[in-house]
Amino acid sequence: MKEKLTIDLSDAVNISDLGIKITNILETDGAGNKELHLNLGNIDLKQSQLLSIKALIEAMQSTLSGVETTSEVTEASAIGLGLTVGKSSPVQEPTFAETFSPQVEPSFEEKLSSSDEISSFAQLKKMNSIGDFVSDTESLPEVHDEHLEEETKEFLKEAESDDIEDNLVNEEMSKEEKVANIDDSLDKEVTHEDIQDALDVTFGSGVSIREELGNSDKDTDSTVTMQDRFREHEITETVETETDGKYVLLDTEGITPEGIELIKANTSDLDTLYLTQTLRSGQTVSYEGNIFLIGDAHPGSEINATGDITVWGILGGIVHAGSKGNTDAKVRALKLNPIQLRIANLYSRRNDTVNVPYVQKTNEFTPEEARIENEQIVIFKTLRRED
Amino acid sequence: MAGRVIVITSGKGGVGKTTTSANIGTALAKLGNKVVLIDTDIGLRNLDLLLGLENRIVYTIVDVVEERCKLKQALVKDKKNPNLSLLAAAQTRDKTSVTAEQLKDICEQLKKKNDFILVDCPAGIEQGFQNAVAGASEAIVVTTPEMSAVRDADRIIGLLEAKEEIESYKLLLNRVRPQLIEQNDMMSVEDVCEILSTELIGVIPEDTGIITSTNKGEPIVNDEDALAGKAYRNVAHRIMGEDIPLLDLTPKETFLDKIKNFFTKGKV
Amino acid sequence: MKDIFANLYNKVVNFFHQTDEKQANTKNDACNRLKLVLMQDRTNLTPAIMDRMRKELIELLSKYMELDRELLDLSFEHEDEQMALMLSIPVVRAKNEDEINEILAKEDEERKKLEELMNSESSEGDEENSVDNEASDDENQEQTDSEEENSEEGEEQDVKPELTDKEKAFSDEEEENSEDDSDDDEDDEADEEIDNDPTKTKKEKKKEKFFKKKKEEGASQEG
Repeated sequence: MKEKLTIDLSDAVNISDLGIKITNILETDGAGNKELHLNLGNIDLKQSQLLSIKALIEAMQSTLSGVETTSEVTEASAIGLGLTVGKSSPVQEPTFAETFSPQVEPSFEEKLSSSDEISSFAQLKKMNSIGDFVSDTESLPEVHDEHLEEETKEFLKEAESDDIEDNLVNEEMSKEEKVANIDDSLDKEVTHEDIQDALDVTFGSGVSIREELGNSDKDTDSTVTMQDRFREHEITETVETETDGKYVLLDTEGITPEGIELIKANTSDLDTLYLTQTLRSGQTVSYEGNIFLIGDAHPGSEINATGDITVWGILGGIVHAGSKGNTDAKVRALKLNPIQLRIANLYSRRNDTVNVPYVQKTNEFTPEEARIENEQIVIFKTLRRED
Repeated sequence: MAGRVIVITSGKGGVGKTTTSANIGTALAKLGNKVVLIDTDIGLRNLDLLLGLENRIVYTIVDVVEERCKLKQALVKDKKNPNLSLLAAAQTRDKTSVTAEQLKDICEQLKKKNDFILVDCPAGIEQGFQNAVAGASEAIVVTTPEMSAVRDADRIIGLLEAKEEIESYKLLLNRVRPQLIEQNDMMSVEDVCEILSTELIGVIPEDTGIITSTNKGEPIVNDEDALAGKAYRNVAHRIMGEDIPLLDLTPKETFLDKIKNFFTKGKV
Repeated sequence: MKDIFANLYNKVVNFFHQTDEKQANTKNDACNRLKLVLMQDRTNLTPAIMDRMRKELIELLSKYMELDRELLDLSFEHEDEQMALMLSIPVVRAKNEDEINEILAKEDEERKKLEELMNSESSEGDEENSVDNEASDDENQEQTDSEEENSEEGEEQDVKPELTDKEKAFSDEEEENSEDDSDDDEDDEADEEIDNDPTKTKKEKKKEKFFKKKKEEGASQEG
């Protein structure tokens, strides 16, 4: 049974303020596993905003059972989400002056720096998520003042610069879908990481997760089709006629090097070349076998291997795994961001709308693997695990 | 159809050869010409970035020369304008990968089906330059109103004059800053023309939009409002033989600007 | 408070003086330096040689008129395909006939002496034969100087083939087209020779032009 905890947030000015307060309380308590009852004061929260707060709390391994509010909007939202709504006592209700007086609060960064690095990063991510979410809602409630707008902008900025995956925002993904995703995930028993990822996906990376989230089996990969990140190449006339009938080309354009013969061979039997360096623009590595690069591969570099290619770092250049036609070859990297990714006879390129030639280095990586599935290059995103 | 092969060269690096190639190429294509841009800066290719085509390159000029693909396969079509295509340089090779004779051959082939072939020349006067010039019959020498660039342009013009294939060459003055010229701190267009005694084909003002357009991978000629874009469009018209006066670049400093400058100068 | 007003006053004063200060501009510096550099590039004359040429010209001209050596301006101008040497030296005073004759007589004497010297020291030989007949003792020193310069120039020219050798070596490593490279090298050398030839003839032309101009200037000065 979860421990019940009532948090008074009636002095919060806006949604981001709420987020900061909740995370501060939950993290400092070393807690988690709590059933929360929030006093939201008179702040107006749309259903989507309340939902993001709920998701945030879930991410901290607690649950949100009920809220107290004086705002009708918030009340309606809470009811919509199936939360119990308790009446807030008039004593606790903040005075007008308190709510709107320009508060000199420690800045966002300052607050973050107080906690240790990793947790602060996680926190930042969550805040970003909320920031994004706020920006998604078209109009902000009236109580939001300039302070909020500034803060929201700040969040958005940080969201852009700090979270790489934010660059891959899939704008087509509608808000409804996001909401639906969260609902799905909340129905199940989920781990911190799963939710974290769900948040990333929902608010940031824009990659759609094919398999259901929240499987109790932690080893489950979530798959991302290449289409999300790599758009179909316009097949030029000549290529089309020349590849006609030779290979089945679905979403990717076939490259047909002379004399390539498609095979499916176990790459673990092949020799492996170990490299410890940064591969810079203009440098090429070709090897009959697997290549294991410990370091980054910058844009403009090229890696060709007849077997697998594994990059222990950021992969930004051109890669061709299974260059002699081995369709079983795979490309793995801590961060997959290649200009072009080729496996055997298939070829896909980075989408034009994705303008990230250089990936910013961070401490957080999600290892990814690209392989051919149903004659189509598919990226598998491996969820982070806790050991 | 017998297309014109124009080499864009400068001698000195960083004066805007590649930017010029991308913009003139795009502008010519916008005017309805079939244009092929050839990047001959093998090992240091950048033209693909300026056009935003870096993720589409499968085959390069080296692949064509080494017969791993057909010439037509290696031509990457522009995202917006189907009249424009790019023959990219290989990033992982060097200048010796292609010979002057081979480049000449490629130009001859492309001439048949295109109106303009623009050859983006690498910096320097070595093999890369010799190769790039080999197939061309016209040249545009890009320079900036700086001593080093003008001096190198003079050297290049000397070399171009010695080439029999080059029938004509014109000067393009890039990164002109009217404000500095006004203050007599930069050589004027007339000064440069007089020193090099060469005919001018265009004057491009310094424009911060060039940087942002490079970031976006879209040449500035597509920006209707940008002054540099307009200047490049004018150059394209002049290449096609139209007589268009040079842009008026004289800075229009109002009294308000002067006062503004006065205060900002005080701060520095 | 005083400081603020002083500051403001200075600003206002500077504001109105700005345009005056700007007349000391850098554009002309650039133009002039560039012209000089290009002149050297185009004629293959090093600054040292240019200096020597200038000295010799002054030496020669000062036999006939008194010149202001400090205010000498030597430049090349590019007209179409031809280059012209422009030299302007303010003439302080035109010499009269007697003075000129005196100098010329002196010179003839010196020349005779030199010839005698050379005949007597013929065993020392070839080096001295190359010495300019007109040259004075001072100029003999300059001659040796310029020989050093020439040798330096030779070194500079040697550097170029070395570079191309490196390129060759590089391309050999790549096992590609070393033949083509060497062909192009030959072309380059041929080009250089061609470049050099016309400048030689142009130099002669320049001198002719220069003398014409000199005469005109002299006439205008006298008039």
